[in-house]
Amino acid sequence: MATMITEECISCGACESECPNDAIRLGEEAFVIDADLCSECVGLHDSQQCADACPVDCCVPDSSRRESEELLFERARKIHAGRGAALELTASTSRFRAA
Amino acid sequence: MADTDAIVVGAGHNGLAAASVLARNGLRVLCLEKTHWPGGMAATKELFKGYKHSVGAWALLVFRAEMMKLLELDKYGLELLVPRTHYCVFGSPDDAPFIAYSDPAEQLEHLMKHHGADAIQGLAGLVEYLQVFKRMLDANLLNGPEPLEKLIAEAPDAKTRETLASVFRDSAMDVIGRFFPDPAKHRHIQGSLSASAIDGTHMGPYTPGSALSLAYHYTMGDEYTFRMPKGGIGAVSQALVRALESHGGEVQYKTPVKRFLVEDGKVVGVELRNGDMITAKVVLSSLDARTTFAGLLGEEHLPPAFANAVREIRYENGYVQIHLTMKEMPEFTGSLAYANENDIRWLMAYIPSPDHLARCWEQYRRGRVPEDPTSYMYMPSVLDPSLAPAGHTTCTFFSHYFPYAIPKGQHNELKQVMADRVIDQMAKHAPNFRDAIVDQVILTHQYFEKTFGISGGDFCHGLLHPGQMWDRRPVAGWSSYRTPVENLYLCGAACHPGPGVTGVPGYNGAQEVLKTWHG
Repeated sequence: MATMITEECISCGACESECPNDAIRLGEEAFVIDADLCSECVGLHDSQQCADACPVDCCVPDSSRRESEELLFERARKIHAGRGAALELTASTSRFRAA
Repeated sequence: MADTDAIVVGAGHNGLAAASVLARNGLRVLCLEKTHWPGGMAATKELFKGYKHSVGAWALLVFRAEMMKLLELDKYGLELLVPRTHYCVFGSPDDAPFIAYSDPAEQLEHLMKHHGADAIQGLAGLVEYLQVFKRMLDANLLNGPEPLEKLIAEAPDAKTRETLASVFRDSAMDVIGRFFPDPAKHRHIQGSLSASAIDGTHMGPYTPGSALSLAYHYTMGDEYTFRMPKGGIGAVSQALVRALESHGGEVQYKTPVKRFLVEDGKVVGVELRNGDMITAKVVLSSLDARTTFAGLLGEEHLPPAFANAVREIRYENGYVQIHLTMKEMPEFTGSLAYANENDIRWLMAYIPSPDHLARCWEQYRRGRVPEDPTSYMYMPSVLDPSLAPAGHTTCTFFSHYFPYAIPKGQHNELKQVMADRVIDQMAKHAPNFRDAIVDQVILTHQYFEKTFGISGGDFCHGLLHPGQMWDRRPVAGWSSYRTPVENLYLCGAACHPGPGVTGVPGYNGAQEVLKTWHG
């Protein structure tokens, strides 16, 4: 599932700079996540950084867009190609493996 | 040739102050900001449609008249409102609330009528005591401070020497107790004073060292203390942006800096998170020292002793800020009913006594949410109706002592517990409070840490401890706004004199650059 921002968003800006993929932009009413750039932080963190930062819990899984760890990891690798970030799948870098 | 003369990292109010002063002096200035708005923690935002809340700082609680001119704030449209009352401190219904008034005559009348001559005497004695510190601060405000030991050793008389030594050594209550010897009497006045003292300290009111924060809070401002910018605190930052831009400078938003570029031991520019490089003759950081040196510079470029000192700076500062929108004003009842008159209620503070505050601190230091937290509740839209729709109001609570280190996964639950306790206490005195709330958001130090990149979420950029103030700010021996690395300067609250929306560190950092600027 890509992560999405609900209408509860207060445009506080907490998530924007937390996103390792630069996938979050300020839209007309609130912040929006570009689903094609969202890898649910797989490969880097064991939880979604936007959801961790959000003070009103409005960064939630988009149930209409269920995606596998494999697909998300591949997306992250493409996004981070050449950026020097070390991507790996461990308990601390994938919510699918987190304890 | 460098891309620009000066890069200022961070568009908080101090970064903007430094940038505007440099631009006014002819430098090409680029201010780089991580978020998409100016002001950092001095910004006013529409969190809820139609309401404007100041997120972080919210008033000029300590401010100097001369900064209006030095930063051209008056020229670029900053308007300041003078509230009739600053705050109304209450607690036990048996004790008369302590109200601070802007007008000295009205203040005197309130104290005489409700608190008696000994309260006036106590406050006057405290003010006189703090004058010794204030004279020293005034003389060292707009430049790097002289070493504290030297100032104490060379004090003109024994009384001055003793007072300065005690300010840096005693607890807030040691000092307050000299002027209010009876702990049971004037508990609200003592509570109010001690709550200011523990702000930004991680200390309790009886902790040795907390007297310094008391002195700082009551001497950093002058007659411009407790002014409300029209439009919210963000109006200060907006005025600084206008000043900067009219002098040819620029702010680039959504531009996080990844690291400083270092060549031959000198800072020559920055690398952005997107990989772009921008070179500059000087770089000024308005961020805290740990973020600046360990985060952006890299310890390998620092003398080991300096790197160690930066690592030891303390930033633990736990708090919550709760922003509410309300469809009607809270109506206070019982012993607080008079607060509805003339809207004294615009700022109510629940601080029953120093002992109550000390209990909250002990619970906080054990990692627990205080059972009955003290709080400040303020409604800026009462003074400035442009901040809320007609008939509605903005309301914010600030409460100290939200546990600093919280086990992962418990943060959201505990912040709700804290907010409920804080709001329930206020609702005891204003029964319509809960029903009047439309929306709410609870921000903690963790939010401020993530969103603004400040170590520990500490809005002070380094706690107000004796070891972290004066010539020891940000670290001992480096209070001149310069750093061990050439061309890298500091210009934020991490520097002397310290925190608050004062503009002083930003102004001073820019002045230090100009001292040796040859173009």
